[in-house]
Amino acid sequence: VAILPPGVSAPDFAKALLEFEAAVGKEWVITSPEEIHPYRDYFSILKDQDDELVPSAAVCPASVEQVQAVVRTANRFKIPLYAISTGKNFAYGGPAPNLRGSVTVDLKRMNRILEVDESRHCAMVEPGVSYMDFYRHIEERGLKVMIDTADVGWGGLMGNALDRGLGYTLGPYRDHMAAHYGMEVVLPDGELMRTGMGALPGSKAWQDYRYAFGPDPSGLFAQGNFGIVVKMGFRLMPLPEHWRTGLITVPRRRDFIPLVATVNYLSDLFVIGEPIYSSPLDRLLTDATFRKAALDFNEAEMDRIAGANNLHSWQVELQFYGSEKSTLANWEWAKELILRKVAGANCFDGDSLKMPVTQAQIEDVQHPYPAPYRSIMRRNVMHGVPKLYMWRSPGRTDADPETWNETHIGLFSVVARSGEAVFQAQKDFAAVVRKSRPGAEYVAALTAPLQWHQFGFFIGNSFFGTATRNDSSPEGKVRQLKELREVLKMNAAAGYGDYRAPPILQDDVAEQYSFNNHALRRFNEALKDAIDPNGILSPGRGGIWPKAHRSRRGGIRK
Amino acid sequence: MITRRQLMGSAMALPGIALSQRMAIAAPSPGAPKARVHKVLIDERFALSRPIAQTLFTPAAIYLPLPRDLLGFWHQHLAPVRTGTTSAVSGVTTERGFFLLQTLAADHRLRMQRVWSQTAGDTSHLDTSLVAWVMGP
Repeated sequence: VAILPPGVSAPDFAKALLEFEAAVGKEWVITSPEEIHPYRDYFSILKDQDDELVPSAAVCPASVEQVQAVVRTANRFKIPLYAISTGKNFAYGGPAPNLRGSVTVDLKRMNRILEVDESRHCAMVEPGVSYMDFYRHIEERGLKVMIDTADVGWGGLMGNALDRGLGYTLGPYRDHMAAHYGMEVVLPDGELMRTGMGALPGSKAWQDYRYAFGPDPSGLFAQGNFGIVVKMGFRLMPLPEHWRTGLITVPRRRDFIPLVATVNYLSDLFVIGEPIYSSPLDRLLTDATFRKAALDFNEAEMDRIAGANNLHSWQVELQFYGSEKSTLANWEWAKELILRKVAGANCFDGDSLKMPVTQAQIEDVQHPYPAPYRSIMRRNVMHGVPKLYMWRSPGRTDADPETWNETHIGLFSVVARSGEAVFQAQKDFAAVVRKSRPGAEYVAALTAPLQWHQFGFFIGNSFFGTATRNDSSPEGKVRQLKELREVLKMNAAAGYGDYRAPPILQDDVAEQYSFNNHALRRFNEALKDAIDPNGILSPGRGGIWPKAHRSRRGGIRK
Repeated sequence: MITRRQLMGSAMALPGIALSQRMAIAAPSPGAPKARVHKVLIDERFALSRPIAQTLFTPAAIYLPLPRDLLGFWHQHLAPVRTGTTSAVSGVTTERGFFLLQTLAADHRLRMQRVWSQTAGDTSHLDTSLVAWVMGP
């Protein structure tokens, strides 16, 4: 054993490891540094440093009873645990714990698909089921359902949902936590609880009604540390007959406001899947006059130069699921709406594919729109087909698309879903860059929102991703960490909070949500202390520290 | 599992490869079985991938080009290694490809039995060096 759990003596830890071995089998308690390696965050900003967030050991239970036994042992010895499902959440910390020296509870062996119902469109899975496992299951059986997969197909349905991961299809499905219906949870004392209709013995409707009766605590288990979820139900999208896309472009910068309003209308009527916004004007950034106009948010000048180059200012790619006829009718309706609202808008027909799509159709990179407009949609995720294509991204630059980067962190601020709010956020984030990096040049005026969540926009402050990626020295990484922390503070001061963070920044993001002297965090920690008095489950996750470890809040490289 | 840092230990020049592409060789895991390589994954985007592979692995092996989707390669060629239906598989890939396959292997308690990593010329952050590996039970 290379390190010990905090506050646990070597003899006690040795006894606990023996108990873990008795519970799960000797070969499933991992302590050698060589085998612990996969439980680190491969992209950690503190990689190989003395305070890197690494576990002391890993335990791999194969059943609910074994999870319960592990939790009871941890309570006896006050050993912090950190549960993972597949542990592939890179950019958000991967399998690494919030507290160095925790024992990782690796649930990958619990990988049964317990039920898939293609008439009720729901499923129940164990924690270790990955998107690719699930896809193969439904494909091999020809089941008429599809999944909303995360970008990286080796992630797990449960882990992604519990980290509030998001996807790409219709709104109710691409919010993976919202698509969950019912959980079975090992509580911090080892007790087993079911949420929703699962709390009713004999109920056949566990995945049909989420709330059952009384308060529904299931939200506590997402980005939280109140239990280890060992079963989880999901609603599934029925496999549509057809998938269709279309591109809308609007000429002027301010046209973005009615464009967003129109897309919101279609989105909230559940007519479209995730819309993909971008600006075709990025190709003008090499023009010094345009670049200056964009840096100054000089909208009239930006419009003038865009017009002179025969370019529209914004584009949105829409996708429709349904029958061939209904998707065509909905696309025709979308065109009619936008042409009614925005003078000079253009609409281009995109793909029209029978579902399920073939592998060849996924691999075939389509260019359905006339130049200079292009699709930036990742087709496989829109079709519910898990891949590892996303691994082309980390460290990518235009100049060197194959760059491998040693750090990888995802940070996205929540922004209100309107064109006006996006314009304001662009200015606010540009101001943050100016304060943080005096003299730096950051063109924020072309930043488009992501609508991963049905009802909100996310915007990443991509400046801090690109400007620091080339310094992989330990000192450079720590400088990057400090800078990111300052950025999070400045974002919060301007009214922006992040939706997700790796463990190393979770305290900082939790700090953003400070209304009424952190009433939310105080409520969560009061609950935590009540149900986990020894503070053994994932201390620090979601910024929630149990009393036993509360002094560690914000303790990493402060 | 062997970390990349550990790979940079003792260096061994490989015949036929210039000094600037010298590889470092890592010791195999103690007790690792000598699996017979019958498939070799090569990344044809890099001119050195095939020559390095031919230096390290038997020419009688089946050489397979790196597909865009590593998941498909995993299911078709590497996952069977854990079920014992095929022997060890090797490859010469980028660090990224190596990371992906190493991570998938760890999920199934497969091991990277031998790993070689390109060292010279690998001084910048733009890591396009190649990693050669043998994966087996």
